[in-house]
Amino acid sequence: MDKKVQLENRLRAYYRRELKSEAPPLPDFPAKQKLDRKKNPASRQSTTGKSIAEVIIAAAAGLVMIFGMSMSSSKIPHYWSQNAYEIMIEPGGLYKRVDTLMDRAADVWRSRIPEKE
Amino acid sequence: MLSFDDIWQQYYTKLRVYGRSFSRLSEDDIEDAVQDIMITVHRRLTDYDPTWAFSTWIYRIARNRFIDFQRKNQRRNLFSIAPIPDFIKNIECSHDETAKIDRDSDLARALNHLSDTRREIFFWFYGEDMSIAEISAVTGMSQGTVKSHLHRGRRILAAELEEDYG
Repeated sequence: MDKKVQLENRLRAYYRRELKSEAPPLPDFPAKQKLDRKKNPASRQSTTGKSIAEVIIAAAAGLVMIFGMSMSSSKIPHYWSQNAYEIMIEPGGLYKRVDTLMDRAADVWRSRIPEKE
Repeated sequence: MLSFDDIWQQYYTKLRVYGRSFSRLSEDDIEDAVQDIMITVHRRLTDYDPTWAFSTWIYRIARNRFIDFQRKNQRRNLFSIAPIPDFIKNIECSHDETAKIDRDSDLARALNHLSDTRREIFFWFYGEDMSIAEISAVTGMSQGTVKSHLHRGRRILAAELEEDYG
């Protein structure tokens, strides 16, 4: 047989054996799991083990519940419903709420300072 | 279209064997590089254009990544001796195939006398049955250059193997 053909056959056989010599491991390396989570944002995990989507839904449900309960029950003061409404609906509602609380805290602080005679 | 798990099954070993074409990479470096290539493939799978052969696409990614790894290694090991390629050690030993293994290790030793580029071309041509045109698409070399690398590589191998047998 031609020497070139012999060498070529030997090379093909060598690579065939090399490729058969090791089986691939399972594709479960940590980086892939991270990528899988990125591709499916609903399954992204927070540090507490709950998914971020679950935490957001729970928080929104809590606010809606406070708002709804305060509207339907006279036992819960009206300002709770007002606060929930401001936080949820009005633009900058959370800021306004914090601002009001700061004003109230300042009033309390001022009232505790004894007036000069 | 191949799923990622199919790609993993089909290409993991091929990429490892291909990685051995790069003389300055140890088996650990090759393993790291293959993981890295698989992450890139996973991330860019939607960018793959089916008008190209899949092997061309994946080997282009792999080639760039292995070259990057080798470059990083060169900087890191600037004053150290280049690692001895591990693939000679990894040839499985069984009593029945001793003669075959001897012939394999002769061939592996002879392949060590080729440049990295020639070893890459040899792997694609003889290991992957890729055409000259496909190899040219992966490397960006002209088809004439690929043919010339194959021809000169074969001459070097023949000379080395004849020397071994006296």
